[in-house]
Amino acid sequence: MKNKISIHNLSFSYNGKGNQLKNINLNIHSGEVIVLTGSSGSGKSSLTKVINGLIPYFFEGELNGKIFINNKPLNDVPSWQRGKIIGNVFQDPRSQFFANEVAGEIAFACENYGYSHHEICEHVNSSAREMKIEKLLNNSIHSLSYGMRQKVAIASAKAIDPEIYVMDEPSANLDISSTYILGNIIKDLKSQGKTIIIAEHRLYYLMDIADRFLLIQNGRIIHEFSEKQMINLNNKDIYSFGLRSPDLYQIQYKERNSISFDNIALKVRNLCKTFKNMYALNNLNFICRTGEVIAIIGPNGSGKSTLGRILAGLLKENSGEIFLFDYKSKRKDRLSKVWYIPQDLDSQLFGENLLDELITGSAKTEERIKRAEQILSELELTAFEKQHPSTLSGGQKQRLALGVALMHDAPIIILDEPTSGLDGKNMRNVSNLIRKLANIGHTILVITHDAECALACCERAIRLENGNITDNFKITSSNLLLEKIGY
Amino acid sequence: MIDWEKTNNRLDKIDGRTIFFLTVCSCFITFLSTSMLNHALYTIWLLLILCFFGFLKQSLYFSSFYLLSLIGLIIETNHNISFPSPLLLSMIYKLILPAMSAYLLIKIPSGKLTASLRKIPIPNKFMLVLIVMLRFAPTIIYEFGEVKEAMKIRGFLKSFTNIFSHPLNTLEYAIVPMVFRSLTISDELAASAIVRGIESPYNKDSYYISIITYIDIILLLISTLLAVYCCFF
Repeated sequence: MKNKISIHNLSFSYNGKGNQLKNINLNIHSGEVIVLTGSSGSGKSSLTKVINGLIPYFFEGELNGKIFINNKPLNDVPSWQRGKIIGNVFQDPRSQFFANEVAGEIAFACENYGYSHHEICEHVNSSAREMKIEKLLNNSIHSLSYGMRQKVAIASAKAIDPEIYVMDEPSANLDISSTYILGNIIKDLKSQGKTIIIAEHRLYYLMDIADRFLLIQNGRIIHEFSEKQMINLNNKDIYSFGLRSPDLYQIQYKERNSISFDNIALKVRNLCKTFKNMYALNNLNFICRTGEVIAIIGPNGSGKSTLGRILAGLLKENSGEIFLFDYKSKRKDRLSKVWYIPQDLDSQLFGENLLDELITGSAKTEERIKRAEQILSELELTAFEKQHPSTLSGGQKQRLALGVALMHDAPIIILDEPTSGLDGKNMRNVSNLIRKLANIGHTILVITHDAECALACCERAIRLENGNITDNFKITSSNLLLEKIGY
Repeated sequence: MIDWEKTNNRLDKIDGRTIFFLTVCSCFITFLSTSMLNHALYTIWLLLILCFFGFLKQSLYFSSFYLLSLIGLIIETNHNISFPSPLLLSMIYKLILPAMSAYLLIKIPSGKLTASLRKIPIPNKFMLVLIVMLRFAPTIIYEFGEVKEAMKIRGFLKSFTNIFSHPLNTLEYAIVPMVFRSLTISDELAASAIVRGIESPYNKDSYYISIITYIDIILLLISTLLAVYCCFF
């Protein structure tokens, strides 16, 4: 088979800050689907950036070795021309989009490459048709769900019909059904003979699509697996490599002997919320006991985050009642008692360092400083105490956000997609921490698409769809949860 | 494909250059007009334009803010009141005018606006900065919403007393995460633009058709005449 991409003795470091990539040798054949996996910071994204030419052109550093695309040195291709050969899909399409509306976004690359108005329209329409988003062409991108945005990102890459696609964690923000749709799109691209490189933590949806799985650790490719070898990895290997499970049915659900607290921490009665006369939440009723960890599951746009925001007092309900520890609670009262940790943590960081992050906004008494140090130690973050919070990894940021909730003694904590974009090791760490907090009496609601996280830490699940509760069940087996989640 | 002939949205039929020109005129009037009446006259003209394009609710908001700040300013100057600062009120009422035209500008599909602006003979670098600024406006609004929510959770916006007794802290809490987010987003956005050929030397056409119609001509004529009157008479 013809080599599409060849990489010889490649090493890269961001201006002397240690080698992100070390001695990479890789041949990718035409029409192959390659998955780059490994823990966060292992070098997966750096390798994709080398392939699409962003390293060293945009992200400067010391690059050694040779890269050939179609047997031509990549260095010989001007930077602006690489986008014609390689289409890119990033993790968070929100910050990838240059236009504010779907049509403009799909047209962006065609406009840059000098296509005529007529050609641009043809490419935009055919790409939108293939992705089944032709009815959304004049919609604002900001009004679309994550799944739809990812489709727009792929349509935008597809519009110039590149030979190679590079995708960086494309499923990170998707629910299960959108993830499977993404899988089918990749399968279609593969059937058209496209070469596809995907850096990804979630592996289950790629099992019957990928030709090879490359495990990257500390900047090196340490293993190469076929689909069969990948699926046969035992749990010990999966854990030691810091991977997520390639087959979710393999995950053993351990029945939890949760510390039984009888009192009701949260009671929701007839809760309704509308946006523009559409029900976002429709007559919800449920209770949460102290010390319970409950997964809030359901497709994108089903009202999960709206529920979280209302419970935390960030949004006002239209009707219904919310009781905290048997007392009816007004919106403002809930703000300090129900702690909401959103998915995007970058806009939540206020401190100069980790210690400051925990005590910022309150008096810096000796007692509070001691408490903050104790929390950092419990969260295993003491080593990073002097760092700025924004320099932490995703898993560390999530732990720090939980630390802030502990600092404020919030009895109820709501986490919105806490494990999105995390590798297997960090996902398990965050899940274990959630269990620990539950065991000391915190009630925790985990809004998640991540079946692995829900199985690792939750004992009950509430499923929402179109603003209605469609299921409220005790998790007794992984099969039950996976079935309800749509796996 | 979007059929521009059949679209019901009046803003879709307007050329981006017309709204850009309106914004430039608004800025000139804000800085050159010395008469409150002239300034108010052009503000009324822009309110009418907002209503014409279907932004009734927004025009109500803008006019309420305009009237409140103007009335406040008149009361303060007549009665020697110094809180809130007359300078602040004066800035608010003056800046509402360019804010209205900028609002219209960001409501135009950014692809269409880019196509229109490319037809203006201005340096490419200046145009790119302008386009990126306009692209960034909705992102900044969204991100600011996120930061505001985080500030609410942390209790920084608990009460007015809290905000007014520590104004610098409140400002710092709002700005620091915004700066970090903006840096990340601008990096990602620039990377995304580079891998999609933003630097290509080709002549660029657009998906959107950019034509000056009779509505543009009427708007341009009235806006120019009014602007000249408001600035110099």
